[in-house]
Amino acid sequence: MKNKLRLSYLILLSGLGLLSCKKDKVKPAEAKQGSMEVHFDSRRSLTEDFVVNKNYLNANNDSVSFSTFKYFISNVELVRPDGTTFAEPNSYHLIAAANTPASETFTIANIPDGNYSKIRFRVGVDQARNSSTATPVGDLDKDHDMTWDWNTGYTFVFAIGKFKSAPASATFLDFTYQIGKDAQYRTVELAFPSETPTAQIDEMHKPKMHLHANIFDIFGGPNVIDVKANSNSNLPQFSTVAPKIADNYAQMFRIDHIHAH
Amino acid sequence: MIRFGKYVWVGLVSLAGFAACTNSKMPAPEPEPFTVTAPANLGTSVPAPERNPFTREGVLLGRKLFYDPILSGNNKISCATCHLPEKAFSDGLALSTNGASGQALHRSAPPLQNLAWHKGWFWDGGAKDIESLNFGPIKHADEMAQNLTELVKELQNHSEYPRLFKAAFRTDTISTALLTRALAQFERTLISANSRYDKYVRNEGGKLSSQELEGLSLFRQKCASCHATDFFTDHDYHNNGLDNTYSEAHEALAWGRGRISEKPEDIGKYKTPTLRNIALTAPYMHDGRFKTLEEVLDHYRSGVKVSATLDARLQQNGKTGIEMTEEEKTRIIQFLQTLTDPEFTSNPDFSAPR
Repeated sequence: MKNKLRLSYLILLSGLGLLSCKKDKVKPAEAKQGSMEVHFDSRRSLTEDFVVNKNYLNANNDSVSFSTFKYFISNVELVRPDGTTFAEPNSYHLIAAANTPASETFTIANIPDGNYSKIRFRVGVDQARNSSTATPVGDLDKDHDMTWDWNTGYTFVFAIGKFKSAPASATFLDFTYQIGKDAQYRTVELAFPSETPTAQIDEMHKPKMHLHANIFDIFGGPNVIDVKANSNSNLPQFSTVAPKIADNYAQMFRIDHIHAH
Repeated sequence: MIRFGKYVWVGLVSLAGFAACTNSKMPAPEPEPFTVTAPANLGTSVPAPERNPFTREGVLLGRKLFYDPILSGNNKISCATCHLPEKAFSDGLALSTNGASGQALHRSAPPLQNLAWHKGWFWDGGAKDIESLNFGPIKHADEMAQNLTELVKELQNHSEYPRLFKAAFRTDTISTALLTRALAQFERTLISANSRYDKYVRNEGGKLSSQELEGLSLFRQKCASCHATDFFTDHDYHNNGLDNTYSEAHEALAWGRGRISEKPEDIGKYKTPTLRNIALTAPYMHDGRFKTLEEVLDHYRSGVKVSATLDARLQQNGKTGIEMTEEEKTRIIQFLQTLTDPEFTSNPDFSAPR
């Protein structure tokens, strides 16, 4: 939070002539820092990788495929065993599973030396940043398909694909899920796996975390979604479906493993 | 040259900031901050978000962008194509077909005036700030149909814009956020508060005829609960009885505010439009369905349709609509004419840069 404030001060002060002092700022000398690479691997399931435009059966036994799947991961925190946290500043990462130039990997830099045991992150964009689409922080201005212009805000999860209209049918129809709005912002907290319950991060130890995103879980998990009845998220009746999908994507992530390095 | 003659603008060049930096290399010149002020009956100060304060260079850049068709995909359409200064930045059309596709829009281009005070933008308040709003018309296939990545490239390769962005924002690396911030700064300066009514109400020598004064008095009784204050809007959303069915077509566009809030009680509501310069901004309503002010007042007299979300003020004492005689209607319209502000529509600070 502190760092977010710092940025808004910089923007504010740029009109007042103080920005010219940026060079005078001294970095605290005592802080030792490491980094961690975080990789979001889009999966069909725990055991099966995801392939773009390939049909799979979802939790409702509908045959579906994705041509696009992208989402915002934001406000990443690393949690120490004593419960204290390091929060990544300006933490907005566009993760793309398919068909976009964005990446599935980002690196958290300047992590204070220490031992960490959990990762916490959000799916979506916090209310403060979600109330304007004109603030270039992190990946927020990277992909203009991820904003709504008629109803200001970011798309948290954007999925486009096809579904079979009926089990016996050969007809595939399009679905578009643009899930966003403050009510669909979700927090995910994952303890490090039992093989590596804690990870040391410092100048010598730069671990790599490999996460699975089981993206078909947007149709399953706590709430089974019938895509045949809910194929366009811009229809008004979708407002009751969106929170169910949000509860699903809140549970679609697992840590597969951590390379200690 | 832009003058901003009407406004007091205060050079707030931060002496403290420079004093602390005597040892560092001098950076690019500071953009010149200034304070845009409004006349007393609009409350003097003009709201602007902390993250996008007014600067002289920012406003000038915003004005240039507003009038530049480079903003559109086909380089033929500017903001001013549908927001003409002589019509208080509206376009005189119900549903414009002047966009890139030639397809009729679904809503009427609103006038642009006193926008800084709004609480939500667009007819339904869907845009949460002016900066975010600007992306709507620029990107929409039936409006300016521009790809923002392409636009940034075009501006970056332009002979003038990198220098102008540097003057306004201290960087010549153009981004969509800076583009829309400049536009928003200009749009917030579009303040209309010098009509004959204003000069009357501020005791600046404006005179209203006895008929116009009668109209003002009737207006205050019959209209001012929504068209409130000297903004002539309460900046809120109401169903004024234009329709009693609300189609789900076009992703429930006809739900108005209800489409944004996702609340049934907001279905069919739209933002109360200001009545400033109302004589210049026909046709009226969110879809331009009424051609004249007579038609508008006839709607309130006898055309209001009842539905669940109809505003309570339009169904009092078991009667629907607003009672007024033909003569009262005439007087109200005579008063509304006094809200025309020629200083606004002909202000050189607001017109296309030469």
